[in-house]
Amino acid sequence: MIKKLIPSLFLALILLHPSWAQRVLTGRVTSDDRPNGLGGVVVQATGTASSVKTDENGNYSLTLPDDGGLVTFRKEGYKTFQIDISFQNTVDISMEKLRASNESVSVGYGTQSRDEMTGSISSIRTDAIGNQPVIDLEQANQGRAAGVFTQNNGGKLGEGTTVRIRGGSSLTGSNSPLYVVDGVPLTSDNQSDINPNNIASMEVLKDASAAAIYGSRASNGVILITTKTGQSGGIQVNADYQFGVSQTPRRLNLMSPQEYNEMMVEYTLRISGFDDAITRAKLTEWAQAGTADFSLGGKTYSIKMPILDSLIYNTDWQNEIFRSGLSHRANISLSGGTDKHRVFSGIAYTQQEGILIGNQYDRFNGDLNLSSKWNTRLTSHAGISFIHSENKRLNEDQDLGSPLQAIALSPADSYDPANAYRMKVRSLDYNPLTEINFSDNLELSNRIIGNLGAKYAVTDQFSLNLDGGIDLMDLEDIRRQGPETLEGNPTGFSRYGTTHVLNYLTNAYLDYTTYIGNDHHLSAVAGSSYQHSLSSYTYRTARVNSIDELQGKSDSDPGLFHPDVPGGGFAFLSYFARISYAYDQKYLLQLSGRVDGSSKVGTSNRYGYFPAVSAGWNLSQESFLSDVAWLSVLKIKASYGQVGNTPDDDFIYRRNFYPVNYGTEQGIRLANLSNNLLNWETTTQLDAGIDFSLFNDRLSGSVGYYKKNTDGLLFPVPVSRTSGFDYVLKNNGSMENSGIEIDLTTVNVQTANLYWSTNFNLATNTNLVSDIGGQTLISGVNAFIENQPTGVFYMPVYLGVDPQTGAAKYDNGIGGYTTDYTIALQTGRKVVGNPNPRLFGGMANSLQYKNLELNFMFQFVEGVDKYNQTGEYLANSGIQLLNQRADQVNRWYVPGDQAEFPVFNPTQENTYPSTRWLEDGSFIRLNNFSLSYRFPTDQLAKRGLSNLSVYVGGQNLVTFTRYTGYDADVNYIDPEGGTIGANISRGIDDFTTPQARVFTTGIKIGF
Amino acid sequence: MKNIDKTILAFILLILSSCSGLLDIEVEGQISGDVLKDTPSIEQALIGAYYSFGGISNQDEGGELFGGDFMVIPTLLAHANSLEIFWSSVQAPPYANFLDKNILSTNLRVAANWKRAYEVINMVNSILANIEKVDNATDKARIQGEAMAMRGILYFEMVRLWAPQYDANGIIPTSHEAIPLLTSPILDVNEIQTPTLSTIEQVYNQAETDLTQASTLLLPFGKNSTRLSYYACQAYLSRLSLQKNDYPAALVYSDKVISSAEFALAASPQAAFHNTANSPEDIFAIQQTLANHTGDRTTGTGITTFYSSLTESGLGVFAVLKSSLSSTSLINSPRFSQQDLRASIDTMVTNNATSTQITTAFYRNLANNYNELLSPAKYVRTDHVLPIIRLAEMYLVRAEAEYETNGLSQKALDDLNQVRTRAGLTPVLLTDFTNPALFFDSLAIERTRELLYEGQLLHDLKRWGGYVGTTFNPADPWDNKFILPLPQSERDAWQSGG
Repeated sequence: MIKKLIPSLFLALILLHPSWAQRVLTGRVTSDDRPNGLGGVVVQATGTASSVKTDENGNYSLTLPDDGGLVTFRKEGYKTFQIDISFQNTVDISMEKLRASNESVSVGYGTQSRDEMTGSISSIRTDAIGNQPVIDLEQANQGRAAGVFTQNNGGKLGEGTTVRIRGGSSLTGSNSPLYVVDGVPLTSDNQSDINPNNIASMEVLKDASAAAIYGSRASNGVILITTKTGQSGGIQVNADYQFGVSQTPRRLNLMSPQEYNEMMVEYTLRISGFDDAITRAKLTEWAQAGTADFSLGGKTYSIKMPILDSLIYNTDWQNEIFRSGLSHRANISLSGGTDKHRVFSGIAYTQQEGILIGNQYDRFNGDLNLSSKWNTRLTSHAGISFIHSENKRLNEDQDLGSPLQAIALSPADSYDPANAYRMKVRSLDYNPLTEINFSDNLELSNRIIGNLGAKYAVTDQFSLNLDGGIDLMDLEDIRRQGPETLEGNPTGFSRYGTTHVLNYLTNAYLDYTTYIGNDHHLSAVAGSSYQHSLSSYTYRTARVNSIDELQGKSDSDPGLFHPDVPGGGFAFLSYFARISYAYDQKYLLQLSGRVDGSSKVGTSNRYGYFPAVSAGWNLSQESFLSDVAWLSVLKIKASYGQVGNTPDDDFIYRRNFYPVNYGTEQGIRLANLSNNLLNWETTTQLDAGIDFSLFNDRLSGSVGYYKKNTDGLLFPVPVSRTSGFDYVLKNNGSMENSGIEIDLTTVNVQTANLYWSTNFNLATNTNLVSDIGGQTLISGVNAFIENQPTGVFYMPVYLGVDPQTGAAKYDNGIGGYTTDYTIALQTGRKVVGNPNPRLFGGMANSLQYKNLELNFMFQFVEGVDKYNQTGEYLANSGIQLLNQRADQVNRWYVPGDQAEFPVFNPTQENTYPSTRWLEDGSFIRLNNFSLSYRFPTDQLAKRGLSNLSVYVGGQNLVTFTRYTGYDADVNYIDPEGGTIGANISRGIDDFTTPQARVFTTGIKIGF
Repeated sequence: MKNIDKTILAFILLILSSCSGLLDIEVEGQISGDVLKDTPSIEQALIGAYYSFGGISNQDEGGELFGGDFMVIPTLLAHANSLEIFWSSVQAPPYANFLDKNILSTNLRVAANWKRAYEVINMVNSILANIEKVDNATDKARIQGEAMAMRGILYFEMVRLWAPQYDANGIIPTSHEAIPLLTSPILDVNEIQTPTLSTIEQVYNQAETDLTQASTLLLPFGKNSTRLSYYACQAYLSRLSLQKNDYPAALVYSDKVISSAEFALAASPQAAFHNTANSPEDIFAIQQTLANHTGDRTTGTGITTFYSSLTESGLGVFAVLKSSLSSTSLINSPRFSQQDLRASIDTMVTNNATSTQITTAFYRNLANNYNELLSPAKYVRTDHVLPIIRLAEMYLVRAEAEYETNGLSQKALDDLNQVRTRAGLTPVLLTDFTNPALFFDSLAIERTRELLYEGQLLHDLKRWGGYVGTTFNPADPWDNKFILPLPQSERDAWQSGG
């Protein structure tokens, strides 16, 4: 493909012929949809500066520099046409409109050509995704679309990502975009388990105009995913295999056994009140000797520390828990068809080992897509995806059984595999290896996503569409804790949970498109949609050491705990419409909107209206710009509209009760009062931008600005407790997001053998909680505060070490400092940082040299703070004698020390949360790299192959950052915190697993 | 073309066809919407109200109201810090305020109890608003009676904690503002209003009306071993009348309970407290089981967590100074004598002791490991019932009411002796009281001994015009330091219009 493209399109650039005589070429350009003449087509003598544009009737007159060569006809949305005009003076051509290619973009309930588009939609190149060794599609999208910020929650497999399109717009609801796969809106917040290889296209609907067609669920943007369909003409079989090796990208520099033992000595002396005897040099000496000999107050002491005789090991705990994880991925697909029926089917198997011991993810994907053209009027499509995954999970990051917690164990200690991996010396410390070897933590998932639809063209203009889809998911959550483990002690503990989700929808809509005269293009879509989703949950636990034994227990067994867990469910009944009008392809206007009825909001607000309007002006089509040959596209566009966000809880608008027991009788207790006025959160968004393509499309892109105001934020409002509640959820706040997005694609080099293009995107986002009734909601080191960004870091300011006492100093908020953390907390807390990035984006490069292709992508995030909670623990004062970061040896030892870190305090924690651990989380990362070689087609044909390529590559290869923890690109989400917790507690690295650095190699074969 | 038009028309109709029922979602296990619609659901709501009435634990909540705080808070307010009681403020810091007699308006337990009480009242009000949906007249009377009893008891307990002592001739009149009175349900967040404070008189009247009506409704159902009964209402009315110093009324109510012969004193004082079901003398007790109990060790809530220092059930937060039990200098000391069963102490218990081994009224506080600090043996297990009002108190009420109404008589003496002899003491005789006023002293100290650490002493001192703690201050019954403040969070919500 690339091989053909380069010579045919660009060969002429370097084949300038100097001796042709000047002449004039005239003609007329038409197209299927503009039979009376297509305006704005750039007609250019290939490889020269001589070019004109066709007028409104498609006529052109081009002065050629010579009497031979090639002429190119180009217009966005149409297939570029090139013709040899050596022997002609008049050329009439008909240009082919690009419908099914990249130029035609999914916009929800239909497609639009890019030149008639007025909304803000980013298309993500999906061809680059295939080679990436990622489980989640979201991870592959990092840095690929302007304004789409994707952050990994952590490096454990299947841990997921946090995606924000143009900033978050809710405090208590979801901030994740709506995912729509082949027309089916998914119920879960991500599309992680879809096979990334089978994605045909991905569109991100960002502004109100584009997203309004999805109404009440669109305020966080919409991501449309279209899976591959078959191609007519023969059968194509593609297979690929990838092998990968994952490693931790970084290791922390922790204390050596000697340094740890010095800390033990210091602990013993300080707790016994011999503070005055301590110097750094003496500690080194005493740690080696195992005895501290000193004189103090006229007395001599010889303090023997027998534990040092046992702490003789040298264990690198990072070696014990990190590993080189191997991964395999195999994928085979079959596509093909006749004129009438086309099929695409594929199966894929992925197995990945995590970089931490005990973590593994296996997935099987099966996909089948059928599309049929029954006659000239009726077409249909059907698709089904089956996904099975098995995830051997690890404990929550803060759990002592999580492998990464091992880095806090003593390096001078060791463990005994024969004794359940318990610690040899400090026997009360919990070794995560015990957990890994004596527990199971498995999630099994089966999921089916299917769709079926038909389109009937009543006339050439009118068609009727009917389709439906289902998303069916079954999860099993299996946990067993052996008696050897903390939680399982002494009899074992088993838990078996299930989740079952059934989500279905039906759409019925008609679309209409017509040309009135030659200049008026009108298209419209109108229809309705019904979506219904039910989920149910069960779990049972017992203090037994086997799932079989747990499952064997009868419901009446007193040792069995099996509560009734209420299910969830919702329904949407929606009407939507979009009318687009283009005059002469210059002036564009679009109205779109949706009426959403939802089971989730109060009965008095059951239906919400989400309208949007947008307009565009294709300046490059204007006659006054038609002579500007270097300009092929210049479009100004703007949109304004409203979209909504649905409350997170399914039934929060009405009174909910839950079962409770008094004595032996079962009753019900009120969980919440109803809120009849509960409404959608509404986001009003203004968007304005420019699309351009210059210098023969060597430089193209767009620049845009947006401003989102979200009103009616659902927020806990304090109320009189005579209601029985402290807080109730009301639509009572507002938030703003604004920013600039820049997207540039350049073709840097195009010669016969070498092609190099770059895609660069950059976005800014300024987020502000503009009104929450003067309240402040604090959660740990994060807070919601008025006139501050969501989840700002709010904590005491660390002011270094008091040289006399070694105590940590904090700003007391009233002009001085305090060493009393309680005072610092009361008066000295400040907004000190922002977990939301100011600026982010990516730069993807693609180079092709003959049969070699090189792709590499940098991702960058700037102006973001990260709270290094791991670091906070690894500088513990010593109550638990955790191992510490190696730099903590530069602590305060004796009065007068101008020390970097506070004194080691054996009785009191002095590493309370403060700005001491707040770090710059900005980074630039070589996120993705691949070098592939494509074997020449002529040789392959003899062997019955249509293509064969091999590649080497990698993911997360190099990161440039000032962050001192494992990985700046993590965002730990505590599952206990719920939605509000996930929204407020941002930017925290709390023993969070870094993302793997992965090296891959693979082969792709096509028959 | 006509066919085409018809097709399109049909299609448009299909698109627009909808029925609002499509948006009504019902989910398995979801108890949602207008739930109180028939007898079973209203019965369940009533049990839910008992759940909260008993302060049953729920994550960080637990131990409010009759789950312990209605006993613990007045006990801490009535006793002297470090002379009588130690409280480990590390494990349960908000309670130290009460022992220090320095109750901050931001105190978390004040706010927690306020909220819980109104949670129960709101549920009760919901039940009463839907009572007509109970089809069967018998069930209706019973449910309505229990619900009203619960509301009456709560308003009474709240007004005597959150407002000055009721006394028409007191320093503060009964027209003084007390707490909000809510008698209709709040169903929707948009109905929540800033409440007005009713007067002490109004709250007492509401409580009395509720309990009186409940008595009438519950009369046919007799004694109920787990729920609120006619007798519980009568017992509570006697408590209420006594609190108002309305002795004739207290006499009538206490006599109704005693003369019914439905209840009998337990064999020993200890036997009144170690029961998995109501003892013969329990008129009302909070029901607990191993799985469903009020407060627990892990959340650090509930009376057992505080009073017990046994590893299996408590933290030993509440520690009694041994010397205070027989002190002759402390003004409110129970002045236990050697033979009093209610003062027997086991100092030999070990750290592995379980509640079944505790047969005495006090034992060495295991958490503090110090022989001079004791744990009371009341409420030692979370699967035992928590006695709230018992027959022993009724004897003492009748004795006091009889004495105050009709003067010293053998009848008053007999009632007092019922409690004394059960505790292993010798009966008192008419001849012991040359000055009849001495009988009051004897009765008052018997109340202190019998109801020790059950939260009654503070209220007794208030109605007697007694001195609380160690200083002699006649204004104590009306002093703010013995009255729970309106929670700051409540005031803040009013300010912001919530």
